[in-house]
Order: sequence, then C-alpha cells, then structure tokens
Amino acid sequence: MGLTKSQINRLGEKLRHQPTIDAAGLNELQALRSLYDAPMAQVQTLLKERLGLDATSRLKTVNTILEKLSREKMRLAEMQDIAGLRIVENMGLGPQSHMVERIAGLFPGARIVDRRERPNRGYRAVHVVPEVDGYLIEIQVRTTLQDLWAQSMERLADEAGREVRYGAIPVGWAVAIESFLSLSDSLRQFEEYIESIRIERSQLPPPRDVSYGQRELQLYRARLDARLKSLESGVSELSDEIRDSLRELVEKKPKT
Amino acid sequence: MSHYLLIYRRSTGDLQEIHDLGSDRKAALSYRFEREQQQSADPDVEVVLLTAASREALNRTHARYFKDRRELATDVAAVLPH
Repeated sequence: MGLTKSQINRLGEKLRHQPTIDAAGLNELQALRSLYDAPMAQVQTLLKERLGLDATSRLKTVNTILEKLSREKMRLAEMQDIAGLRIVENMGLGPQSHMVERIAGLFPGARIVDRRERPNRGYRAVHVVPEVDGYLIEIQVRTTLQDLWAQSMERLADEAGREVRYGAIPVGWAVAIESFLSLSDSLRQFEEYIESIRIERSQLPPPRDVSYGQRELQLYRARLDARLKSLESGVSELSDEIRDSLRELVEKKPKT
Repeated sequence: MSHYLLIYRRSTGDLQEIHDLGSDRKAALSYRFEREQQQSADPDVEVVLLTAASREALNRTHARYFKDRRELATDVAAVLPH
C-alpha cells in the first residue's frame, strides 16, 4: 500500500528532529523506501532494454536521508534521490548530452538538471529525474572524469566529514578542499577542450575533397588543422597540470 | 541483475563486508533492512544495497567503496593523454 505525500512529509518532519533514529522511525523509513523499489527497478530495466545502458541502482541509506533532512529544509516527499541510478561511461560532453536526450526521451516530463553548467561545489554530472508511478527517481549520467572526481570527493568527505560536500570546512582541511574544487575546474576545462576538438574534427572536409585541388577547401582545412593543433597543445598542458595537482592531493593530509 | 550488500565504515574508508545476494530482489531488500536494524546505533556505518549487471559494473559506478584516494587519483591520471 502506498503513502500519501502528506504521510511521507509527516515522517520527514519526525525524523528531521531526531538526533538518531529509533526502531519505529527506522521501520517507517524502510517501509517508505520499499515503495520506491519497484519504480526504480522498472527504470533500470527500461534503460537496459530500450537503450542498452547498464545502470547501477540503489535506495538511499538511512544515514544520508537523515543528514539531508537535517541539512536542508526540503520535505521528504520532494527528496528526488531516495531512489537513484548511476551510469558512468568513458565519453565526452557531446555524447553525454546525447545520452541524456535518449534517456529523457523514455520519460516524457522528466526534469533535467545539468550540473556541468552549474557545478554544485565542484560536482559535475547530468541528472534526469522522471516521476514513475508517483515516485521521483534520479538517474545520474556521468563521464568517467566527472565520476572519478565525485568518487574522490566522497572519499575525502568520509575522512573529513560529510558536510564538506556542502560547504563546511573542518579545521585543517581548507587546503585539500580548495585543491579538490580547483581540480574539478581543471577537469571541466579538459573536457571542454576535448569536446572542441571533437567538433573541429567533425568539420574537417574529407582529405579526398581537398586533394582535388580546391583552393578554398585547402585553406579551410589548413585553418582548422591549426586550431586543432592549438587545442591539442592546450589539452597536453592541462593534462600535465592536472597530474601535478593529483600528486599533491594524494599526499595532502589535514594540518591539525 | 545481482544485488550486492556492502557494509562500509566511513571514517576509515573500510569496506567491512560485501555479499553477492544473487537476483532475488525481495530477499535482498529484506536482508538489507535486517542489517540496517543491527547497525542503526552506529551512524559511521553505511549499509548499502547496490543492484548491478555485474561486480565489474559495480566497481565502475561506485568506486568509492573499493578504492582509496590514491587509487582514484591514479585512475584519473590514466584517463588523461600523455
């Protein structure tokens, strides 16, 4: 049997004001999450059968629901990631956008949250949020680099305290956190460079056309080649910078 | 699809247990809830149930549970061109 939004929100208000969860609260939270399980499984199956995409699914943990309720004023029924799926692919920004469009096409009316344009404390990804049988399901679509950054930040948050993901800076962690945010920006630039190269390459006229001696095409190709070379050189420099940052980051320990 | 139950201690980044629970969705969720009841007094411990096509797929989408920061940094470097 389902719960009304008012019933879900009442449970949220009760949990929000408890420092720890009691047995009754846990039972209710488990009953609530059970309701999301079938719609989440339905989305996972659709992604596989219709688009051939392998997504991993999960129902949010007790701790992270309680932390979110205590951190934010949102109502429990509005929490869009109680059930979530994640797709990680080694792809560029263009193919990522294309994948998002295909996924959104399966769920008319789904909300798309593009955190590449507006990163949230360095977090970059695209989320597609359909409502399935009355329940919001969050589908995270990440490139490998976006995902590795997010996973690293999660590990840092495990060590330093989960609240670092939402702006808190525990004593001794300021430098490491700033470096992580800076790394996110470098990775964003890197992905944008790569996407520019992909677009430039797609505009190159086929070599066969150029060899026919069409002067204008030859000049056009030369200009594109030069732009491409400049972009590739930018990628190379940025890659070196990112490697240096990574070396520093793994060595970094909190100063107490 | 297989269901994997993970017991993870956040402060140490220690994956204490991982169980492949097979494909029975209802049984997996029920076991997860049972383990949550046992762990509810310790907010440092996460009881996570992940559903994936394979263990390899799980490693790709939820590396945080399996790799430390150094290993993740190595993975980032491996994606960059030389």
